[in-house]
Amino acid sequence: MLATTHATGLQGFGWKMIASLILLLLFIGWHYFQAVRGREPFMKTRPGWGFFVKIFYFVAVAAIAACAVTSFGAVLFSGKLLGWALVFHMMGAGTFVFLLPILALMWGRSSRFGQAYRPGRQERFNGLAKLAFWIMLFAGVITIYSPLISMLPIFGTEGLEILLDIHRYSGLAVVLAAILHGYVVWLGRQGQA
Amino acid sequence: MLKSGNHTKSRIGSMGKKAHLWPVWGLALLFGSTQSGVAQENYKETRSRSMYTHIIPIYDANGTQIDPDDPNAPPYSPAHTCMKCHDYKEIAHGYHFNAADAIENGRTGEPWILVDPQTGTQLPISYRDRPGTFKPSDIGLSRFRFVYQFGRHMPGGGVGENPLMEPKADEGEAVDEQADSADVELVPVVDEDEAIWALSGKLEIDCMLCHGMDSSYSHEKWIKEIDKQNFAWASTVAMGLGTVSGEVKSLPSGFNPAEAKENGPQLPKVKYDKKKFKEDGSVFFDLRLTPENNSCYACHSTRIVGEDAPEKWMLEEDVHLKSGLTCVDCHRNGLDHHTVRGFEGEIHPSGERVDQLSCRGCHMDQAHSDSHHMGHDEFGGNLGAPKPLHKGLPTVHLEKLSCTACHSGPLPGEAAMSLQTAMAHNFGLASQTRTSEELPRIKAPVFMRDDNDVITPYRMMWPSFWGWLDGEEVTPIQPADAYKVLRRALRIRKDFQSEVANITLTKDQRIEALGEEAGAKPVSELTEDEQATLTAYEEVKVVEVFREKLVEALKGIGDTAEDGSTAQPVFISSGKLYRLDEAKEKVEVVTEHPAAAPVSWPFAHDVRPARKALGIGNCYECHAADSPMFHGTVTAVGPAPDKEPITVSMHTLFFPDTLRMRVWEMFFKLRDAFKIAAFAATGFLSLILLMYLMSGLNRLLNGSRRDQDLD
Repeated sequence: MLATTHATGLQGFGWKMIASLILLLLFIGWHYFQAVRGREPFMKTRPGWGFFVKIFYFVAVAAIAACAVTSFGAVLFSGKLLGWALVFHMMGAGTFVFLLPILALMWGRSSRFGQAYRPGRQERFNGLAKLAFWIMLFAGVITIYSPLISMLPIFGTEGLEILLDIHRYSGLAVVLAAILHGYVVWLGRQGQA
Repeated sequence: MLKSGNHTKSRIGSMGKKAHLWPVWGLALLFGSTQSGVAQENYKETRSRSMYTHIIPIYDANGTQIDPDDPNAPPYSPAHTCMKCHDYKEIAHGYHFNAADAIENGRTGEPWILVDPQTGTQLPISYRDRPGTFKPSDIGLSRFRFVYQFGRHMPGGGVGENPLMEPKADEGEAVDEQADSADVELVPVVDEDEAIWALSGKLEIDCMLCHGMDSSYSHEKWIKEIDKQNFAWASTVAMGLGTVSGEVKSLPSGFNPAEAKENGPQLPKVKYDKKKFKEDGSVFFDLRLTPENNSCYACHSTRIVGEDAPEKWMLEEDVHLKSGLTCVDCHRNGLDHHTVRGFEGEIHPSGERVDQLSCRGCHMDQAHSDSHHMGHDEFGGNLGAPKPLHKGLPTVHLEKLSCTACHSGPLPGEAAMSLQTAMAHNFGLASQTRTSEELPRIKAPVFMRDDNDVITPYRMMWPSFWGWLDGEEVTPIQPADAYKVLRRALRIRKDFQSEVANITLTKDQRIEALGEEAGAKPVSELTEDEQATLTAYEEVKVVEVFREKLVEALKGIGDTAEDGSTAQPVFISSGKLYRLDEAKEKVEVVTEHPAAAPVSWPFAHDVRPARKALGIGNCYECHAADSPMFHGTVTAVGPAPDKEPITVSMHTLFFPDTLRMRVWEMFFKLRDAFKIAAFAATGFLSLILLMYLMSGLNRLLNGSRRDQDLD
């Protein structure tokens, strides 16, 4: 077998992926428990979401979910991202590429640490949501660049392998950040605080 | 071993000096001989890298040295000549000789193809367990008939000199059931042509066929002697040791050499060329340990044929050979002659790992996760093989495609090409009547998935034969039996293919095709358009006429059925099965019958240089709506005239999900635009992030300064 073939199941990248997802879910569970008990500070008001904001956010989440399900499924079950799974992954990725700058424009200003969207206004996101947002953007850029550069005749097999690994790990970071961001946004919209 | 033998000799040599120790030495010698007898082989080796010059006596099949002056000298026996120094028995189990042995077959290879031009038969057969092939016994080929048919491109040995073996049949137990058992007793199959073997002699392994230097051996003479059934004489003639008069094929039935009269039929006679012999009767064998490419070419050559076929001088040889490698640099073997075939996943009978001799083994580094290799990588680079860069080629291609898919054979075109091979088309025999259409009709490259689901280029042939359909099974009829009927029903004399396609249009038919005025003109006066119209009309008529005649042919064959048989006569050609309809008045054509399915085998050569690999230019060489690899066509070909041959798009053979392929092709149409847009969008995003990052840093630094100021 070639070095290009990656281990399936819980070997290699698989166990790191599972472990990080479990850790994140444990954190969210703990956080939710704290939130219910009122020990964690939350937004005082629900953020005002316009129609386009909702659309962009949910499409972006759907795109990330499509990429995550297809690639994580491949990692766990076949070791290869091929067939229709690859087609859907590409479709999700194509959407993600163009929505991420929109998200940056949409929420970048309101996600600055220690600064409200406009002076005097209440902050739209709390620190956790901001952190998740910036991780999603920075990891997203790496996740996008790695396959884009692969499409150019620059790197050989070993370089492409490294780029693929970068794509895997940064993609995982995007997914974890997106889950966390989604959770915090959801929690805020529940009016928990 | 020689080593132990030398020890024995040294002990004997020292005995004179210590004669008083004779009883002790006697015991030691006896003991030593016994010990070395266990370890010692009776075969010689020089241990030198320098080639041994073979000036050696030659022996006949009884192990008696040949006397060239003897007018009745028998033919020389390669086995008995070479086995004086080499382990012939060990060699005789090698890959080129062991087709009939009960062994693992490995990846499928080119089958033998039984060709009979008179009946339009092209039938893949093999002693090996290959999908889509028939066993020689299925078509009534005895071991002798098989060797007579195919010995021309066999190196001798195997079925050429040893009887076939079968499990001993016990009462009440089927042979097939026994064959599954590991401890079955094997007994020789009785050969119905045993009497002819006694005349033709064995077809021994002719070592010189492979090991002979360029001009020291004539493959053509070998072919001709096999055709005369002079099996035992073939080596003598091919090596040029002498000339042979007479042929076993012409001997009368029941001929007994012991009772042969001087003026009557005789066994072939050898007249040795005395110039080839030294004074002591020894002969110079111009050979080399590692066979030259030229020897391999005798059986492993191919040629693209047809109207669009490139001229021979326009073709490039395999890039490895042009770089100075030889076939045996990769296709190596030890004394056991288990030649490495070089495909991935090959399991060598010796137990040695040979994956380093595959394409990837030499050109790539391989990761091993098995405990045997402690998880370390193995590096390629054998024979100075360069490591490919594959710049920009998504690595999935290296998993889903064989190396040969992009690098081997002729570049795929709009349609799979017609190809001839040495073994199928009797290369090596000079002939003035070779055509592009001669049977068997083979197509390549055809992309298919191999046993490991890897896309690989194949050669493909559609079987053509007359047979009996019983249920779903079709049993082939021996061509000679079929011909007895076809001769009259189809009026075939020599060549089925050309004769059934040769019809003369009547004047009425010409008028029907061209109208009153043009139809009345002689053909030479027709315009180009009219001639084209007439040719098209003729092609349709040829099929009509053939199918009419086929009714008679199938009826005629049906009349030869055994009493009580329910089997139906059929003809198979070009992927179609022809049979009579229920009323037995018309021919019914079945297009998807398993018996008519093509047989295919992967190929690996000639390898093109990297810069001529498929896809080297861009992705669209494959991922486009008009790419030859996906959308080139494969047309079933055979000897029967067919106006609507089965034609499939190449992708249906390895990528049957057309919808996914279309989606994928649509993606590739947008690929360039997507790349530009994606780089622009991500570049824009990067700038936004940079801006926020700088702003954040600025704020952080200013905040620190403010804090310091406050302090």
